[in-house]
Amino acid sequence: MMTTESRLRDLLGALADPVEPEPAWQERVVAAMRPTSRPRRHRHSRRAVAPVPRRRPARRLVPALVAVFVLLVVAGAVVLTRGGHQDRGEPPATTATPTATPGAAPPYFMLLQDDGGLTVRDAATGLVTTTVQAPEGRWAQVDASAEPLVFYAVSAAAQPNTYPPTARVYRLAINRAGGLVSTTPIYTWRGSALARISPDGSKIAFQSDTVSTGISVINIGTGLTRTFSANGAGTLGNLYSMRWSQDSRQLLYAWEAARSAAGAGARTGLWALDTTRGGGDLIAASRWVATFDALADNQPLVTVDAHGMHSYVATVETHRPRLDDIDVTQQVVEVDPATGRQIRVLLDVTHRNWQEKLGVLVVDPSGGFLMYDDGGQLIDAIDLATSRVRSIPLNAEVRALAW
Amino acid sequence: MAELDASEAAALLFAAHQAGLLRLGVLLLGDRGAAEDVIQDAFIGLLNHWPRLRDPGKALAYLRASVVNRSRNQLRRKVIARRIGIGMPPPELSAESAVLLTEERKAVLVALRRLPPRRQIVLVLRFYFDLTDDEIAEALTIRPATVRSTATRALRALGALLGEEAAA
Repeated sequence: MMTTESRLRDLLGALADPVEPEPAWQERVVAAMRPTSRPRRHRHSRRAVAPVPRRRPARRLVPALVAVFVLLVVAGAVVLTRGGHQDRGEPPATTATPTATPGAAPPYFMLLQDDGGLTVRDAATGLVTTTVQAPEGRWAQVDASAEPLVFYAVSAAAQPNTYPPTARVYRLAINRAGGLVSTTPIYTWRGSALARISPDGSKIAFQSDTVSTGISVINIGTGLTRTFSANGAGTLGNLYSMRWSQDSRQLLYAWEAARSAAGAGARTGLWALDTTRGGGDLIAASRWVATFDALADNQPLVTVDAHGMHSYVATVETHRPRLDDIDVTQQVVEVDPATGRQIRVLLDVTHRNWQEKLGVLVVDPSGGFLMYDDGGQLIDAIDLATSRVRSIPLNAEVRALAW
Repeated sequence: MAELDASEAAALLFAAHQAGLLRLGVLLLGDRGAAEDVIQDAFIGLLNHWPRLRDPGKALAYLRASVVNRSRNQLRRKVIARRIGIGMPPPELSAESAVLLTEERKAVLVALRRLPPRRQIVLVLRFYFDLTDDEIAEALTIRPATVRSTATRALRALGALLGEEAAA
């Protein structure tokens, strides 16, 4: 009888041994690597990436872990240092003057944990005040509302292999002590449960499965669905994350242009869809907001204010000084949406033997605080007015956070 | 290698290692087209990182880690989709490969795809590419001890999924 190891080796050999590079692909890669095909890059200069040949757009299956969070913020200049596990972190150079006037941050946030648990957390301590059970199925997404004590959560149907799945959005109200007051079902639909609910609770947006790449927007009041589709002529690319603007009118999304797509209408970066339009071509209904580097090893997290005036990019890089050690450098910078140039460094910290993940980068509705998941089961809350950073313990891995 | 410019060095690396990296991508993603895209992106990433590459002799290790990292991101998306019950295509398998696979191999493939991404990657790197624990650790940016424990657990889990009493 064959052992597990020998069965595995047999399978891997059968799958991989016949694979040989095809000439057409070789030509594409070689062409893409020619100096004339590539833009010059600088460490913090984030400009649109020049198109290079590609076989076809890579399939982005479900943008669950990579999120683009967009909330209103008027940012101030911040020089951040961190205590605790920080190994490096001289005060970064600041090139901007503070302009923020942050208000009071909401007292609670909701955390969707990697294990599917949904909890209400005290924003000061990170302690759980309430655990919210899904009335049916599993929690898939959580969003903040315009009211500090109201959140929206989406559940996916319990049947794991039904397609399209059934999703339902709930309005969750909590009291001033962080306790759950009500769980009210608002709307049910067939489609992706990785949906984003507008802050005013009037619209649901999710990646459409009726077009190859596109967004469906449901008006909860009327039940009407508008579909915006991409991948028309000159707009080949991948859409991988979405977030509502504070006014519930625009839907921000990240777009990675296919290498073979040409023209400004398809450039990589952050776009804002005008959801008041009646559907149709996605790019035509959108305006370009900001650029970011789509070729980073880890896709960056991007946050931009609703007016496109300030944008923030979080990246993670790893380096091994010795075999048994890994240095993980996390950086958050503000970039000028218009030019892609770095304005200032908000966070630049290296951890020894840390997780190299990118989780959450979110600004609270007051516009004064930035939350960043540093991978250590902690959330770093950055006060943009005072430059203070405090770590909020979570004791859980983060899938999504609403504040 | 250090005296070549980035494009020349990348071209040489591509000529020497394209097949191995392509097989790595196919084994991790189960999709040749996706693997080709991942490897193209990895080489573009290498070119962009070249000025900051501390040891050009480590370029192959960088490429391998880049392919693993990009593939892992895609695998994680699939895992999340399955976890929350979103209907997804079955484990990818080209028609060409499917014809070649026996029922026995198909069963092993289905079991392999049920493992978490990191376990799949460790098994592929160890049992197809015969990389050392240190090399796998470098590709995954984890410690060698973690590689060993992951491999042991992954093989045991694979055996359990295949209905074997004792694996590894």
